[in-house]
Amino acid sequence: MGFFVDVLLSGVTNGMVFAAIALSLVLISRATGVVNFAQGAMAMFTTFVAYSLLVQGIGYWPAFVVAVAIGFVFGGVVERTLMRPLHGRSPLNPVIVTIGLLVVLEGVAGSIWGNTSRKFPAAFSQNGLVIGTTRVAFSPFDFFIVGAVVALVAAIVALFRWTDLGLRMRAAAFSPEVARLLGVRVGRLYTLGWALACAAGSLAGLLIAPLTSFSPYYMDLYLIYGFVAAVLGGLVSPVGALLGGLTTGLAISFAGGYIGSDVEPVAALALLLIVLMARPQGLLGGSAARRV
Amino acid sequence: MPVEPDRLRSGGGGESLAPDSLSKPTIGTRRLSHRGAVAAGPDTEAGLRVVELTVRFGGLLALDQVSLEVAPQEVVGLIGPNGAGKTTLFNAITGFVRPTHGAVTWQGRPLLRHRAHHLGRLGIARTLQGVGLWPGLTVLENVACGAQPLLHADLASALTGTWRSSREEGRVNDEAAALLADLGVARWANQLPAALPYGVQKRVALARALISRPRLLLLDEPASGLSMADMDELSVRIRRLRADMSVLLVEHHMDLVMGTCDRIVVLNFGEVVAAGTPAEVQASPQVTAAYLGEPVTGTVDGHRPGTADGPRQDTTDGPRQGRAPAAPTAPTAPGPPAVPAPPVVPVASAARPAAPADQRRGRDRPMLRVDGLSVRYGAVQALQDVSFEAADGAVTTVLGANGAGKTTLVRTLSGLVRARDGTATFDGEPLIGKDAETIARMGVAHVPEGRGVIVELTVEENLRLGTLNRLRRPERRAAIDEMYDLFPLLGARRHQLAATLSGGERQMLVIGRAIVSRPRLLLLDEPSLGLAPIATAQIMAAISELTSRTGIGAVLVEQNARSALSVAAWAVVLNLGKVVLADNPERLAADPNLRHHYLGF
Repeated sequence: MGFFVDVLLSGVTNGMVFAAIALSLVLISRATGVVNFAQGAMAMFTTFVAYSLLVQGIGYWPAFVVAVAIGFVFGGVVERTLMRPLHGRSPLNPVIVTIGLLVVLEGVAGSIWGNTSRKFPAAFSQNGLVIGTTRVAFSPFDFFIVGAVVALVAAIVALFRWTDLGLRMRAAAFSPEVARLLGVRVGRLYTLGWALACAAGSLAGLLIAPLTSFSPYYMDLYLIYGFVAAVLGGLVSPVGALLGGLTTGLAISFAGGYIGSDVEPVAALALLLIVLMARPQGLLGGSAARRV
Repeated sequence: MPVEPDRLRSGGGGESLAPDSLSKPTIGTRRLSHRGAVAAGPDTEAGLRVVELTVRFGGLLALDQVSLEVAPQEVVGLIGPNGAGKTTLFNAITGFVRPTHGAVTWQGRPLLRHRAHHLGRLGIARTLQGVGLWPGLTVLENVACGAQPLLHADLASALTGTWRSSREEGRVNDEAAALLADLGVARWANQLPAALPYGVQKRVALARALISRPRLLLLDEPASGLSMADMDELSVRIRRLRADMSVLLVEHHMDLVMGTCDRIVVLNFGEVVAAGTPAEVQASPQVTAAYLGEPVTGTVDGHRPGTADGPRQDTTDGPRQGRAPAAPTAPTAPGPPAVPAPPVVPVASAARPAAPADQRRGRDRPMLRVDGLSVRYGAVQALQDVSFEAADGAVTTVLGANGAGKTTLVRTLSGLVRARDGTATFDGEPLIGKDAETIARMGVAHVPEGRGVIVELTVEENLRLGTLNRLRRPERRAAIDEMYDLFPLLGARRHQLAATLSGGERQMLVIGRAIVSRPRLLLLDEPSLGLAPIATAQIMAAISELTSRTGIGAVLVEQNARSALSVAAWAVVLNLGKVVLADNPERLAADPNLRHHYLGF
């Protein structure tokens, strides 16, 4: 029973992390139809910037905020300089450019910070909480992860649903031409979409770094899990990303806990395959998902 | 012509605007003047037979018990205004759309159970709207691929390059080359299609359909984008094909249809409204009504050349006669239908110097001035030297048949399409060269047809979007509430997704969304599209009332000439991208040339 609860709790934590990556993928794909394969690498890069700041002796929270802010700017710059010229061309072009960006960023990070693994500090203790007499696999930092990601998703949903800016962003995503005819500056909203997505990605990077060995490649596997989560959620909806992340996290955690940690990636891909065959539009799927 | 109950569709937008005017269509009273003509066709069992085909898309009745036949060696034309159901019928015959009811037989065998890719083996070939050539294959390879249904060699032998498959390949290539030579495009055989002139691409697409030696050829708008000379050629070719096959032709260019077809079937609102020989169809008042809409006063009857040319010619002498467009030919009686390219009427395009008082309100400077506008899509000239003016406080209508360039004109003015040449000024400020967002913020509201609602948003969100960029925050709520007063139906559905609205409600919503932005000029793209006559009349009345009450200008682009003319203060007619008539609506409504430019007869 204790083992089951531990597997469940670590599944939830992992799921939230995947959801954060999925959210950053979804924000871009629903706005511009592009899957940003460089998302993980961009998050890795901003997390390394935070690491450098921490090494300089700047406190954890200032470094945290700076990293997310840099992610925001980085996303906007990438959209304006690399993605905008590709708009309206073959859908293959952004795929190649974002994969190229991934390779470049990992290479540059390796040459600046080295390819060795290190430890990235966590905001809170990573020791499991003690409930009664047993220690469960849920630390204060895990608590922070869940809270941060749920708050992020809630903020994004609120932005889309209840603000004028969100209405513009939805209009630009659903029907760019009509939005332009109503005076919505669609190009700027694409830039904003990328900026928000990459800020969310940076947050994910900061949350993930303490959980794993921190090197320029630490996001690669997580990006794949995040991608699985995003596709499960239908690739268009923030709430879908959250549910997809949770599903993926639990599946991987249970597969790892009961079968063996080697099968975790296999479990993620098997889950993707099953869902794509049964519900190609994702778990939420369809136009209902696009609303939220 | 009074509005007959059976012209009101049970699906689509009619009911939402006029709930009580909806009466169930009574099949017995439908004008089936085509019955006799169909029965007269020779040996119909051997040809294509469509029996009471009905297609429903959700609440929309796209085809309503359509019956038609194509006999062997017969060329049948299928015509009808936008949204009449022509393409749906085509798609139902070829298996892309599953009909709700009805049957299609080919040589006595039912077709509906066949998958689309089996059609080739049954001797049926189809061309697509546009060209649909594979861009990565050469012209010859494109044509050779059309022979796929006839090949015997299977995939395995093709992959291993056996003697049989390579011999077959050689034979197919020879045949493709011969066909290309026959169509006069052999010299492009080894080039990629994208860079070739549009007329050549269309011929290659035809060759690809012909190489499978079909017994039934389905042509979907083969003339779109073709020059007059190419169209003549095409007509001759189709007549020649007739020796070996049946042809069903969907086409907007009346000259081609009238000159090529043995029989013509006319669709409107998913129903057959007339059928018969070209002469019979031309004489049918239903056909004229289907294209021109319901008459404002009386019926425009037949050809009366020479009645209305006088006053209009006067308007061409003006201060701007220097730029007389497009070589006006002498006023002529419309030629016999078989002769395409009748460049009829003297063009009054730009100049409106001695404009009658009824089209000007107050100001000397017109609100919108379009001068020499030209637009190209690749090889297709969509607009050529278009000039006209629109005043504020009134409706200026731009009429024309399908493919005349009306939508391109609106899209160019609103910044979605780049002009190649020419200018357009709005209140003295240039429009051409600005992006769509800027033009919208200047107060030029392009109202796309009903499909322009954002279906993923609610009704209210669609309206809110309209207010965001031109109204200050405190004014927005009031503007939206005002709109609900104008269209109470939208108010009742404010929290519904726009996807749940009917066609007429969507049309209301796009118009409402433009109006809440308090525009100074409305550019309306076919607001009557797909609407029943009563709904159309209501929309037209609303537009007219709005312009005269608020003083804003409106450019109303319409295919439904008669309803547009009834509210307009000035009218311009486009044909093949050029302005061919410009006059006040009363004179234009009575002008036989209007009908000529729509229908070509």
